[in-house]
Amino acid sequence: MSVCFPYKVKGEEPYLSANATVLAKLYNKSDPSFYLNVEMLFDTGAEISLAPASLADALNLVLTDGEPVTLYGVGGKVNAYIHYVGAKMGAVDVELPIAIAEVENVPILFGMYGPMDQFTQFILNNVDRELCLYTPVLKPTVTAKVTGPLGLWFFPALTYLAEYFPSVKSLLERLTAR
Amino acid sequence: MGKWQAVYQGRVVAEADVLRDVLAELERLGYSRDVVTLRYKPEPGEVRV
Repeated sequence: MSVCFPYKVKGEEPYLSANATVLAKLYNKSDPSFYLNVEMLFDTGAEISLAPASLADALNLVLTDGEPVTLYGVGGKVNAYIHYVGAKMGAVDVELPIAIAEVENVPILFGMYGPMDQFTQFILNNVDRELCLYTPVLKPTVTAKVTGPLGLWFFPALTYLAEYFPSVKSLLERLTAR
Repeated sequence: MGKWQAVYQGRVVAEADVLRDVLAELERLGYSRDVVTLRYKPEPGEVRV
């Protein structure tokens, strides 16, 4: 399964840079019915996702209930607390560890801790100007065992349908969990 | 320094230097937080690392 986000390139040659962002619905896992739509800068150089202090209030989290951590970057050091929130991006729903700072003047970043385990590929397609994140769906050994001669089309078709039909998604998850 | 913005149906409905103030402005205007998109808009020439 994948989720893609268009992005724009800014600047002038030879100093072009991509402003690639991920649009995520962030939610408190104890209350998934309420969420915030947030554009997060996709940052492979950030070890963990980051957000300003007010995100904690907005998601009904107690800031200091998180795991305390000190973050170091170009701007110096910042005290923060790591929380584990839900992040829904299109059909992809993952748990996202996010360091929520004690202060407001920090950027909102989509960092690598968490996504590195949950996604198999990040592709910055600079021709189509699209950032795509891929989640694992199939376990090759299981695919071979379950599908046999149908393997050429059965799982790809199921994977495609799973994006649109929750019952197919559930079936696929059961098959691949074996 | 750029601005934090709340965007509703493609239109910026709240803007401030920090996210907290955008959230407060949304509340004042009566927007539910789950119907807007929150983003940071860098000012021209601002480079983020």
